[in-house]
Amino acid sequence: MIRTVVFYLKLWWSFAQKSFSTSFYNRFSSILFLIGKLARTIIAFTFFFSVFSRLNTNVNGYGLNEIILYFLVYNTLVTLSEFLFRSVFEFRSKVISGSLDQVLTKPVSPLFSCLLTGADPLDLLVAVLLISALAVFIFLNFSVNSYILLLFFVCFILAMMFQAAFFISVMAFGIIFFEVDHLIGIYRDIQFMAEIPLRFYKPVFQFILTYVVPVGIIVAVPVEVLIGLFSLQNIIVLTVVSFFYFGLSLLFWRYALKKYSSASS
Amino acid sequence: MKTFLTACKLTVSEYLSYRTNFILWRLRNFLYLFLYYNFWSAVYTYQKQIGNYNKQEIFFYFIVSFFLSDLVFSSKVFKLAAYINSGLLSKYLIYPVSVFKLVVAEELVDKAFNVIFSIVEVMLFVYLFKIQIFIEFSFYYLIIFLLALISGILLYFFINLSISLLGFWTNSVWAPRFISFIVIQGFSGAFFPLDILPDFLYRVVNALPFSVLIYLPMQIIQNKINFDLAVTKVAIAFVWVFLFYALSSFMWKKGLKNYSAYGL
Repeated sequence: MIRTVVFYLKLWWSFAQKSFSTSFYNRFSSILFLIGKLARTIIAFTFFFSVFSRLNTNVNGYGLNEIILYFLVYNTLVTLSEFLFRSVFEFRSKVISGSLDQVLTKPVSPLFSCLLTGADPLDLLVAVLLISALAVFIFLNFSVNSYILLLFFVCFILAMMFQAAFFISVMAFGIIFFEVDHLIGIYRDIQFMAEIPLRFYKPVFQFILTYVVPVGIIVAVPVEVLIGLFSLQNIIVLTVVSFFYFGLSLLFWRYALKKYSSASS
Repeated sequence: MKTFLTACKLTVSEYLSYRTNFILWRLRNFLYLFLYYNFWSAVYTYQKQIGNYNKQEIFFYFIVSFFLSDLVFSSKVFKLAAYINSGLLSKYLIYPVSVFKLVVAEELVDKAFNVIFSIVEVMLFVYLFKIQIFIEFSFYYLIIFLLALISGILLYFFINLSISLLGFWTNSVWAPRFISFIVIQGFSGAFFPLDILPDFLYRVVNALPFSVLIYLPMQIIQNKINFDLAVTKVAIAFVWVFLFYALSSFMWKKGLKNYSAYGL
């Protein structure tokens, strides 16, 4: 078991190095992409700040500081998952061109090869900036002890697990329907709803964003842990939802692989 | 007209070939309306007025700007960069029809499709969520609104064309396209009314050419700007159009001299 983990870690690092050197080779483009990604985050932040700084009331325990924290946690989560799962964005071309055949014949888990081998250094840089901003913001505005931090990390990992489940499901969908990009786009759009606190929404949407498309709960619980509004019930829901969707996505992936006809090759 | 009809047929067959892709694309658009509706509903539950907009006005803004975005931002001109990089441009250069005629025909067809589907989606959305949309303005305002819209469409076309023509000098046009997409969409007023921003930032963003694309027509249609100022702004918008037209013409002439069809 440990040998397998070490093997895959080494493999991941080797692919990450390759991906990093590609970005370093295309320096000009990489700088533009980096500026674009940062601009996107800054524009979104400016918009949210402009809207929520005009709210006079504290909504269910959420003032401006809590909303900024929410924004930072959300963006860190999204950026880190895009850093890790970037290769999913190229998955459709693998299916359409038939190059998925080569992946399937290698003595490495195809799920690993398709999901984790395209780490994007630009997303990593943005993630590092976001994590730094998050750390400074927490340090300046919230009092958290080590237990709270530990609980936050556990919730964050559970949230990442859900993100992984989504990207695995997208690949499985891609094998069957040859479509990936719009599905990721739809998910990104829905994620937009998770950019503001779950408690702002009407109960029906809170339910949908918790159980049906749980993008709301995966951001809400880690943030609520930090600001002291969390409940044990929500942590249990997050755990169950993450494990359930992760398991479901693995089943869907296996099913899709069985359906793969290699028609394009 | 024949070019336009051929482009129309090709676009339809392209959409029909990738049906799931097409359905998801339109579903995504509808979802966008739904998400923004929920976002603004949630925000306006706790406050009656944010900046210069009450709930009714902000609903009007995001629904109409959604429609205008589909009209202004639908574009096929970026294909030109791929033609240049792959060397395929050589084929189009020896065609009896100008490559620009083909690009404009595809662009118009794409816009026509977007507008048709947008109208259906917006009407369905307004019906389902019982949103009241009132448009009340004079004939002169209508004229100035249409001029603002035309300037926005032309400006976006020439900005996009200039970026695509970078393909004559670099293989990686995708990176400048990405950054321009983020900046243009962010500062055009497509996602939110720009005057919601802090005052100093609003002044900067409003001075950029991108505010002409969506924000200016929206200001006119919502009567948030007086007529004289609207005329001045539209005149400035056409100056921007001319500048980007001149830039793209210059790049095309220079680029053709530089072009070696090495992708072939």
